[in-house]
Amino acid sequence: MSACQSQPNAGSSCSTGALPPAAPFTLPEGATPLIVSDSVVSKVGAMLAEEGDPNLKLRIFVTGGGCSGFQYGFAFDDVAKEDDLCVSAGAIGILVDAASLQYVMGAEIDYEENLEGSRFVIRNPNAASTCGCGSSFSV
Amino acid sequence: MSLSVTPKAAKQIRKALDQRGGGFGLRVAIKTSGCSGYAYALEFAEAPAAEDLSFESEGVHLLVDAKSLPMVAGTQLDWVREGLNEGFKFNNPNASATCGCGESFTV
Repeated sequence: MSACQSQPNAGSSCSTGALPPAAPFTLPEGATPLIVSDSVVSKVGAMLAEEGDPNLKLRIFVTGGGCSGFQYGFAFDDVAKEDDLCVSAGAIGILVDAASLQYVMGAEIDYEENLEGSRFVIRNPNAASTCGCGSSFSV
Repeated sequence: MSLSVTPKAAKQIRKALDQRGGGFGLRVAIKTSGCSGYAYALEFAEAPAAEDLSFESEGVHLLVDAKSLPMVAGTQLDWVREGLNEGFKFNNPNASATCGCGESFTV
């Protein structure tokens, strides 16, 4: 948190862009690519049941942008790409493309619900710093 | 200047209070933390305290202590869905910069 710099007008200048081309990425042998919490399995399971498409999976991706340089994205996807890693957790499947995977390798995916809201969070051992949650501002 | 909520935020506040088993309303507090210097915190409130200002909007009560009010005066609290996430959003006319939502990081 302390490494996080305030970004003047970050709200409007926060851009989203494609990642630089990734070097071919091979999963290290025996490595756990993603740790998926029980709350993700139950919440995504419930969301997918609502959608009613048995092929739907949770896609996690990384794009350039945000205050700290990269940002995570979450979406549902029913098409797996050639370079996707698919992780099964309980009854759900999670897709991560190779370019994104190198940034989230070994990360823990969690789903938090509290008074402020409900959101997916990533505890990422590769991240040097992260930044607040729209709950941070300057005057 | 007062605090207000959108109908969506009001609905969510009522839902949260019901789940909790009641309460007077929500307190909007300011903490000195986060990337941009200050951070909002929301708490359930049982009753207004002596130094509190109380606002009613869309049928729900918001409390803010008098000292914090200048930083949040005119703020509208909204409830927004962004992709698969949803949460309260502070539309604060006093804020000159805001910063992301934990989805931003450096390597």
